Amino acid sequence: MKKYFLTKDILHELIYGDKLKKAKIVLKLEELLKKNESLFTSIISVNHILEKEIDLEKRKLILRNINLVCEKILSLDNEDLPLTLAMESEFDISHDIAVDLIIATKFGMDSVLDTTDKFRFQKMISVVSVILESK
Amino acid sequence: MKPNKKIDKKFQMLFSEEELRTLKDEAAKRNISASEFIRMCIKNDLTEKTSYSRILALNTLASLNKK
Repeated sequence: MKKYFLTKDILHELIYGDKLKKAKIVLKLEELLKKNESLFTSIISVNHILEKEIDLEKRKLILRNINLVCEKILSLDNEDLPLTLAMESEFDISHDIAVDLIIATKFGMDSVLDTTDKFRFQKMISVVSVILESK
Repeated sequence: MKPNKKIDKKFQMLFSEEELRTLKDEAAKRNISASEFIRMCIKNDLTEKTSYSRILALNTLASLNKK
């Protein structure tokens, strides 16, 4: 059983994307869940999603269902911060990407599941991109 | 069941021919041993979230904001 880390972009598209994008993500995640693969995300990604919602009941619903879909919601400790900042400046990447990468590697994820190719620069962890735009 | 959980309790059980064949076939499909498959079934059906409830939750998230 493999461990997949869901980025905030994939969660965002799953909840707020258009019908076609949602369908592609649901298809991919269903395929993984049927194989009993483990899905994870970070508390930062969940917070990013919840911040967008004004409706308290909807927030609760989102949190409850993300918690069900994912095996665990992961977070960083204070001691991970120096490495995150170092990675940010060394690779010239955004804080969000550095945080996702540190969490994914720290917790032994097999792959990062994203909707873009923004993680392609690194060679630390496999990346599965769910292609949302038809070309 | 977490991967690092100690697995050291032995239990024997009897199967019918058909049950044993199904068990082995389904385990082979998943590329895991029959024992691991039984542990996975217990985990899914009794102790943790089932695949069904996870897929249901996934579809709930996707249907929250329909465009």
